[in-house]
Amino acid sequence: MKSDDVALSIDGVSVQFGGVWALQEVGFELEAGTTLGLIGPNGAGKTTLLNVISRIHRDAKGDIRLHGESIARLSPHHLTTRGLARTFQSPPALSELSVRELLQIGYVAGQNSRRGRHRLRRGSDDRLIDEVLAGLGLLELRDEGCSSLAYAEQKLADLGRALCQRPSVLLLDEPCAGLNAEEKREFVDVIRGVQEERPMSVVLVEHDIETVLAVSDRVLVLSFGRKIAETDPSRVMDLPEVRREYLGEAE
Amino acid sequence: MCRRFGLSGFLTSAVAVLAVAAPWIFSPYTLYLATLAAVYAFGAIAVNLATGYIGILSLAPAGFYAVGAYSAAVVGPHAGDDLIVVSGAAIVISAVLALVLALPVLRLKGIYLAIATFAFALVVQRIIVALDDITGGNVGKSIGTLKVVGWVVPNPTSLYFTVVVVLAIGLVFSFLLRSSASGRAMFMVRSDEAGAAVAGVNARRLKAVAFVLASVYCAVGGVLYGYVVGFVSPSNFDILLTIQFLAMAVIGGLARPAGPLIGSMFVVIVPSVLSAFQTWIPAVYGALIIVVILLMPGGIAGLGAQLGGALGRWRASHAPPSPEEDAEASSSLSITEKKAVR
Repeated sequence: MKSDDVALSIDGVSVQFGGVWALQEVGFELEAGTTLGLIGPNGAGKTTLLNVISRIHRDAKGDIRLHGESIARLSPHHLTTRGLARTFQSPPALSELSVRELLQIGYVAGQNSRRGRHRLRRGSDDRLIDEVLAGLGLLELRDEGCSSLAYAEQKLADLGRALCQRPSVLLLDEPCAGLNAEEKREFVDVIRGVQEERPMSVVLVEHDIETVLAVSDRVLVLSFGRKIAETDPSRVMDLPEVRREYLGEAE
Repeated sequence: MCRRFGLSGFLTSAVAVLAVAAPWIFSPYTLYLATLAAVYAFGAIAVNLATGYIGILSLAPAGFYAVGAYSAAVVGPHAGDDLIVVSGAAIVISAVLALVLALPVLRLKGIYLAIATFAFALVVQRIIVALDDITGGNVGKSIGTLKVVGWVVPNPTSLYFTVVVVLAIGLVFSFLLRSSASGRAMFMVRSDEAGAAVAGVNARRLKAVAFVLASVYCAVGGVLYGYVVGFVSPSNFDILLTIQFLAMAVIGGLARPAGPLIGSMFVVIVPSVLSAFQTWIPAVYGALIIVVILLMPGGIAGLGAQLGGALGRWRASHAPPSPEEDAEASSSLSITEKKAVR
């Protein structure tokens, strides 16, 4: 694998919460344009790992490289200018912002990365934002206040905000929690649609194993802060740890 | 969205018409109160910016208001009491002070930030007392007649219009800020600072910008206050003034650009309208404030959205969904129900 093709590489990342290792020497490489599924039982350290990558959690050991450059010392808001976007498990309740305004925030954050400092010009962003809204089925709700939306819609709006950045690396934290089967399929279509259009790497933390297997090119299994496997989706269910966790099989 | 703008837009236009007609329909005393309300509105806008937009609970406004008023008292005589020069001086002094204060203090949050900014306001008051040679100390200092680029503002009516014009500029700017990229980012910081950072917002810098802007609004308001009242003393700028600004912003509608104007009118003018109640004015006035806070969480400016939302919910729960009403009811349905409808 050439280093140009690696969008995100994590090396020896460890996090300690008061004597407990939340993450221990975790590492992986994410090839440009591919999707890495991150699975593991509750408390395995999946969200912590996303927090470390997006620099919300700043006391981690180890190195994080985005497109070959170390980001282990940057502030979270610097990362959007380098192509990193992230969604939240529980989207923030934004009482005073409409859906469109939330996506505009993402759009402006993404603009910074390509043209230096940029001021939002009226109308220039509408097309991209409407496209993203339409893709997520949120077009009719664009002028609604974010906090007046249903939970699933708020998560989609948060995803829309991240997509409007036009990120090269997208971190998704349990995007399917609270979505029904049809919505999950639509979500998969949205991510695939973006990836067909342009190279976007995705790290997907998700409990819904079917969605993970459907979207991912590789799957990384975490357990108690340790990486216990990294493999192809087709072979994930052969792992005894995964069978125990998801199928409830005894040894 | 349309409904929300509908009512608050209507209210804003009504206030604008009233503002222009005021000198001809109000008594001189009421006009003085209206001028005072307009001058206080700057403090309310400052609170709305810092607390309403980005969520900094600052108790510094009275301090920066004092900086403005004492610029009028101290710089004014040396600058021919010219609005532009005195305001310019007040803006520079307050902006520098705010920036110096912001760097350490904005690392704090909530009640800790409130106390630290309150300390600043106290220090300003103490300094004014201590520098009695130039400020008049506790006795206070009288202020000359306002001029605008050589034009002496001759009477209460022209003073009123001078204040209204400056206020209008300030209000327009706060409206523009609300709908700008920075304004949106401020609202996101208020709701979720970590989330805003991940969404590419430099929260610390934006907070400093909002804090400095709010301080500048206070300083300009303070300058005008000085010329309207004609006399300043340190006791005018105690914590009660800040509380009044907070009350104006909250009653008018926190986070809504029109809120400070409505709130300051309410706080300054309603007590005089209530004069029929005589000794009961404070009690009735207090009760009114409690009613507004309890019944209108979005303040008076947020009433439109509140009524619109209530109407939508009432329709959704009472009328059987007909095709025309689907679009309106859609916001209250979950995503799955809506897709089924489609």
